[in-house]
Amino acid sequence: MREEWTRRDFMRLLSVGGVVFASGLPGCAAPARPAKAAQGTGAPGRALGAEDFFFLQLSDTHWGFRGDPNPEADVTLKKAVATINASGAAPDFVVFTGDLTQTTEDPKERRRRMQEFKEIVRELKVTDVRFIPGEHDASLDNGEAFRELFGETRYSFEHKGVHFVALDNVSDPTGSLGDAQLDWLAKDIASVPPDSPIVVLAHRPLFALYPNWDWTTRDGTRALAVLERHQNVTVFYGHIHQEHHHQTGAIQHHAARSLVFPLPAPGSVPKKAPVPWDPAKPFQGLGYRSIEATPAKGYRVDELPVVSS
Amino acid sequence: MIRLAPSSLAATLLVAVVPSGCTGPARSAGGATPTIIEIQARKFAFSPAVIHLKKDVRAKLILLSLDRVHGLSVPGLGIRADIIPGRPATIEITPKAAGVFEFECDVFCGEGHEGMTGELVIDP
Repeated sequence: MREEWTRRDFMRLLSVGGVVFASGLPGCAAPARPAKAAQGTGAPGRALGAEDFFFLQLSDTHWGFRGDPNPEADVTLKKAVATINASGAAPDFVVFTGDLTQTTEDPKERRRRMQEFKEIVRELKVTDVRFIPGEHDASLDNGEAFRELFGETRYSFEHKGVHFVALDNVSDPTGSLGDAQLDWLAKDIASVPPDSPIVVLAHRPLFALYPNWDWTTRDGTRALAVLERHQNVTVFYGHIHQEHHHQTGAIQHHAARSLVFPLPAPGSVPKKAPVPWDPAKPFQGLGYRSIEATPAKGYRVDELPVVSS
Repeated sequence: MIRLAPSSLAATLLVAVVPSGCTGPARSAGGATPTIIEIQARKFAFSPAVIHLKKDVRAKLILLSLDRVHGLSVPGLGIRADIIPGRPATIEITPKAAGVFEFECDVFCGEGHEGMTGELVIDP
């Protein structure tokens, strides 16, 4: 029950944005469906059990970015950290799904930005914070600096009945997973019962969301073929700087907002470019998300703003 | 390596990608001597960035990198090639339908990577 109260406190204190009920677990065959700010009544995830929990996904912080698309890029991440801390939220863990830093060709500057990023997120009042790289962090040095400062770029772990797999589809600058990682993935999930929940964390979409804008993973279909052997797979990813929900076969895919600038909907404009900053509505379109895992029913995904109103 | 367009695009073009190390032009439809267009890739632009081809006229695109590894991907036509410094790649193409197809660098090359794009214009 402690977790339930913590969760309710969290959602009350923060302005709740879009809510999605991701029903990838047994008993919920329907695809994820967007809903208006529902505030949760009657939603999946209310009947919490001993193994229910929630975690936060933050993505695409691009620490080190400077430019008109976000004139407050030097404080956006800090504000998000402050918002989370002020909420009193007690998520089981926080995961950053890549592009922690803005790319640079200078290896020293890359490490300096990563170190600054670590110091900022160290302020989170959450003991378990996990990271995966984005192409801005890892593609120019094949993940070398990332591994020095954050550890392995791919890994898996168990948490309260859910098997989490963090994939690296960015250290190869072609945006590929590669044969070795695909073999590792197959072996990693081979021991997971077919009906047990699996959550995949990645930076790029594993499916061909919009290849014209490089919103894909070159060998993502091979990963999906491996994952399709399991009945309850949900992917949380970043890269596209906006909320997006999609289903391939039985696998659900949920893209998170960015913490630097939003990008337009796939193919909605001729050229991919950041959505212009609106001084009247700073941080509009930015945010992070809370993911409530309720193994008996599914996942509840709440999109949350940088600054609570 | 001969890479054909997906079946849904078969009516659009016939294409062959010849990576570095291959000798001689790949066989393709269209006959006659192909139009040859050299495309230079460098951080963070293609030159030319707008390429005009004619429907049913065979063309050979020669891809050169002036600095680092890039890629040229035309998702709408289902073709792509790596562009490696010192190892020119060739794409042979015989467009079968007019249209405008975006292309991009699909090998992350730095801060301006997202803007490294162009258009392949197939004129009637």
